[in-house]
Amino acid sequence: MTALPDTNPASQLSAEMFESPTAYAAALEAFLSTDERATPYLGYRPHSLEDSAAHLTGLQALLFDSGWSRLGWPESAGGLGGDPRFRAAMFQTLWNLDIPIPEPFTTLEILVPVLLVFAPHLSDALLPGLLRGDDKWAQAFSEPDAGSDLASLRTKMEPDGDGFRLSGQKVWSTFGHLSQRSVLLARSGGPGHKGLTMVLVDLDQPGIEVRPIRAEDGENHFSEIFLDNAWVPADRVIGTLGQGWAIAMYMLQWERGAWGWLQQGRFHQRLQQAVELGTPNAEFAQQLGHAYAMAAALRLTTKQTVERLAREEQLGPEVSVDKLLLIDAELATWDAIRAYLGPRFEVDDTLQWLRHEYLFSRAAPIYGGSQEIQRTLVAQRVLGMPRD
Amino acid sequence: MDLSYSPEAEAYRAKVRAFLAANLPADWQGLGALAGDEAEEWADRWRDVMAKNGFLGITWPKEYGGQGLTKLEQVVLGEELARARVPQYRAVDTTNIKMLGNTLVKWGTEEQKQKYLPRILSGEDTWVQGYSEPEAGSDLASVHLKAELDGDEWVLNGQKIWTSRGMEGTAIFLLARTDNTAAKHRGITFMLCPISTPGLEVRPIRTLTGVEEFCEVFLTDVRIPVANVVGPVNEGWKVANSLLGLERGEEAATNPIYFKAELERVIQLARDKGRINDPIIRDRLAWCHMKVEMMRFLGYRILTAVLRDGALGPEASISKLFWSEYHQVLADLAMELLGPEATVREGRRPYKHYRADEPGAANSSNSWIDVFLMNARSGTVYAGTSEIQRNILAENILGLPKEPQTNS
Amino acid sequence: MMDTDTLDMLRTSLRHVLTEATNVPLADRLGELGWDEVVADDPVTALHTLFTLKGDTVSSADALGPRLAAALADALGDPQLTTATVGLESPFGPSSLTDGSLTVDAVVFTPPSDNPVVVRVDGEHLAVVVGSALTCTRLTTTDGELAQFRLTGTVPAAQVQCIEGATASIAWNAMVTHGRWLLACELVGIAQHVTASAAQYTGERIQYGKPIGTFQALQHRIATAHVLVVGAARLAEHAGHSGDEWSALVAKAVAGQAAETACTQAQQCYGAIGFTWEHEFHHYLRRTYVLDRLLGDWRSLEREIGNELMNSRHVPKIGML
Ligand SMILES: Cc1cc2nc3c(=O)[nH]c(=O)nc-3n(C[C@H](O)[C@H](O)[C@H](O)COP(=O)(O)OP(=O)(O)OC[C@H]3O[C@@H](n4cnc5c(N)ncnc54)[C@H](O)[C@@H]3O)c2cc1C
Ligand SMILES: Cc1cc2nc3c(=O)[nH]c(=O)nc-3n(C[C@H](O)[C@H](O)[C@H](O)COP(=O)(O)OP(=O)(O)OC[C@H]3O[C@@H](n4cnc5c(N)ncnc54)[C@H](O)[C@@H]3O)c2cc1C
Repeated sequence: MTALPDTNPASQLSAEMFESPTAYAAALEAFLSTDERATPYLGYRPHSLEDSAAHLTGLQALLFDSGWSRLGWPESAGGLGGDPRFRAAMFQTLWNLDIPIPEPFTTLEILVPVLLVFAPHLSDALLPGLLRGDDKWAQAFSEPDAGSDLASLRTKMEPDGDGFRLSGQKVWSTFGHLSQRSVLLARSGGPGHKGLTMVLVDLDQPGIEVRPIRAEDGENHFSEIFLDNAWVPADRVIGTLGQGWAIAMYMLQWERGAWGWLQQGRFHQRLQQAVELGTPNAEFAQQLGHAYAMAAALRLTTKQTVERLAREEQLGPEVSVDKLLLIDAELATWDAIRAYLGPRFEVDDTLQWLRHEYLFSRAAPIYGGSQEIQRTLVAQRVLGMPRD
Repeated sequence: MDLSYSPEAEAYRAKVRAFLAANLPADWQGLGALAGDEAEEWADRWRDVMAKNGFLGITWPKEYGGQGLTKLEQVVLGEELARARVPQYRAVDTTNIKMLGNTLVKWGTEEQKQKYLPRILSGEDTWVQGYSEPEAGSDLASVHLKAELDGDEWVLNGQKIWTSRGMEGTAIFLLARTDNTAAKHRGITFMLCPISTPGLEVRPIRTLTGVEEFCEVFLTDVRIPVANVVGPVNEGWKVANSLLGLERGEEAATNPIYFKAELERVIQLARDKGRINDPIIRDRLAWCHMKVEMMRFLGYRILTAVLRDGALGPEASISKLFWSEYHQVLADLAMELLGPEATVREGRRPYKHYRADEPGAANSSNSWIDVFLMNARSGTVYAGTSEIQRNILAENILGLPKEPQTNS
Repeated sequence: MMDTDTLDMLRTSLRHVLTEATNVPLADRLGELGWDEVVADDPVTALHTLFTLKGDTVSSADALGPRLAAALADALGDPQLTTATVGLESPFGPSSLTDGSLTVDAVVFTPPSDNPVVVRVDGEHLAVVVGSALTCTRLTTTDGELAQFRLTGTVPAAQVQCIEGATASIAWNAMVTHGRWLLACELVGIAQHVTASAAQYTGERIQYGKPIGTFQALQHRIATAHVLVVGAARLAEHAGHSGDEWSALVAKAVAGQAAETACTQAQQCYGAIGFTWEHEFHHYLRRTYVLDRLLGDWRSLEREIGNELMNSRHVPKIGML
């Protein structure tokens, strides 16, 4: 059993919570539903993305200061130890209480596991600030001419003294305009996979301009990032020069697997909202039943993935199955909710947030590697179908 | 789009109606109402009545036994027969009259037309289709059946497969490879071959419903006279493809009538099973109705284009995809309505193995089980698979770039 | 719990038992393997393995019938019923119980001879009657190979044992739950087999000078099926471990859909050969069709799920970390 590290006096963590994610989740649920500092977050409905970001930073601070969000991260990086199932249990608990997951948590789930392996000096130094919400990061991989075909990206990385200079353009960086730093993939060498390097760059510098892009729900979900001779010191290289592609592939198991678990909690929660709001109607029984069945399939599949990650197994191309199930479940969930709530869904002022989520659900087959790309990966790499 | 028919066509319609009134039993329900063998026998007899009264091959010139009428009359005839719930001909006449007969009208020599067309109409000859081979399915242009010229005979060696109703055929039309050196579409020749020719052997293949519906045909040193080539040597690809289009016009106009009759049977099934007020079932029935109506109007457009321009418009290429994919949904729905009954075989099986069961068929489980397992499911495979249809649609109609993989 | 080596050995011997050509009933052949001890030791793994393999091999042996009886006997605490035959819903009509007599119409997988037969009369009443009092006729089914029999007859009330009220409904539901789990495993076995075989076929079949499996249209068809099959497999595993009614319901709903999807996608990839009797595929297609319709087809189970969510206004979560 882990000894309880020195935590904030406000913490209500006890030794037994470290024993199982279930015990931890139960205690966290009790804390959040009774502690009045958590009240502002229960059933919170954002007015805008920026409002929500500001508001939920408070939640991040609360969870960090009282120790809850530090479980599941190594002590070296400011965590309290325990495997990733504790993080998964925290997400489930937040959804159970209808508390939106702060966006930085989702970024963390994708980026930090990579730093822990390939740049522990960065995660050790920076994880606490990131977890606490003092610091926010983005992911800058895609470019206008490098989407699915990411390996064709062109942002240039050239040595300059004890660091590097970056020039080029990135696009679709989620939360880019609200972030202080970004993990970025750039071309440090020749063409192809081998010429790519991953870095952590400060966005707040003269060579960088970040412009938000309004998404179809009217919110600034993502940004363009223009880099003109931007500076990145040598110790901000993640892994080694030319290792960028391999690291990006390593990242996928988190981006496709752990992400799926986080999202299934939301799908169950939103279906719960819908059955509370709607009037039973046999016409929609099958649609709702189907959405639920897909969400349940996603839940059990990603549960296994999280457990494998917790055992530090190396996951292969089979994580694309998790992502594909996520797409099916997300689309089915929002289609069913929209059908079941009927006209109310379209016009009720209090359901604006749900309509936004509906619109955003349409992006599921695109982000994190499109549905087509994932299907091809499953066919060729999992099922052994021939490549051309 | 012009929905009115010419006065000549309407006059022909009156003639067809009079013929039907005089020749059909008063209580005629449709072929589907007859039990198994009876339906086959009735269809054979009916075909003779049609032939004797000049209702087969009506667009063929009179000198070969036809009526010298236009495509429009052919459509009117199809419409009236569908409405009266009678088949146009036997199942095997699809390859016999529609495919081979029409090909000969367009490409046959004078001698071939005189020799074969009357025998097709009289039922003396029955032609089946020998295009596909084990190694040439979607990629039909790669047919291997070897044809070598020896004096004034072609010597054929190779194999055909999936020949529908091959056991009923007295003759087979073949695509054979006559030039190995040319590009693959260029070295193919269209040939005629009696089944009784020495060296030709037909073996039935059992389908998944347990019946012997299609066949393999083996050819070993089969000798046929050079006079049996249709169209120019090495231009068989063109010959085979030239008719596809014009047939689609007629099919597009009459298909929806059969599908409508079939949908009515499913609606009746929903009533019989007490599911007619079930909102989910009603949604799905309404969806099917919309699709059938869309097929009807699509049919009009295709037909109008054919009559006006003598060529198919872009609509034609979605017709096959549309009906075949619709039909799978319809068959699923029928099976769902049957409930547990769908697992037990009761009643007669469909007489045809394509598309809808015949009008008048009872809502017996056997009618729907075979429609579900065979007719509906195979619709997306035969006559150009859905994948091939989509490639054609994307590349030829929408102008999308060619799939890199099929450039070869 | 079984270790991996034991499990591998078990798989090998079960595969043999399921595929050997013999008229000896499955139960007897399993008996020779010491099956009862294997089940007593680790029932979830043992049964999961048996039924998944049964799907994989499209074996027509009656494994389900005895399990339904065992589940019912267990739920009723009546060991004598282990030898019973459970009569499932008949397509031809319900069984009914009047003052004077029991009229039976039910479907079973093995003729009951003189063993007891249990049928459900309505939600609150089960009736037990000796099999020899009923007429047993083999049905011509869509599957053809998986034997199904129809039991009919009218029996005087004096010869009928009646189980009533909550006891009856709880026991019947327990039997249905057990059956749904096992059918979900079997359907997953079918779906996995069909998906893998079709993937392999597309690697061998050449058109346009290359394996048809290189065409994205086919890759995406098979991948779509595989994704659903993985979800179904996880649900079926979970339903076995949890044993609860809701998990079995969801597992069977997804498994039926996965098997149907796998068959549809595979058949399109096969082209004409998939419509023949000679290719193995049709066994899987027809078996899927019949198994899906036992104890609720996937569409009606999805409806059952949806209705439950709407009416209870509660969305349960299956499986905890
Ligand atoms: C909501 C959202 C958030 C995002 N957040 C980030 C982020 O934080 N950081 C970041 O770097 N990026 C982010 N992205 C970008 C995302 O990674 C890309 O959108 C994705 O990789 C697809 O690239 P693209 O948009 O350029 O589409 P394209 O690559 O141009 O694809 C267009 C279409 O072509 C199809 N296609 C492409 N190649 C093939 C092929 N070989 N076979 C078959 N079909 C193919 C695709 O499936 C798609 O349907 C985000 C995107 C979205 C929608
Ligand atoms: C009921 C029935 C009746 C038939 N009757 C006759 C008959 O009377 N005479 C006759 O000659 N033939 C007949 N056929 C054969 C029919 O024409 C062929 O089945 C059809 O052309 C497909 O060929 P295949 O079966 O070899 O499948 P394949 O060509 O092997 O196709 C297998 C799969 O690969 C896909 N595929 C192939 N190429 C591509 C591509 N480029 N891009 C994407 N996907 C591709 C197909 O869409 C299909 O899903 C019949 C078939 C059936 C099912």
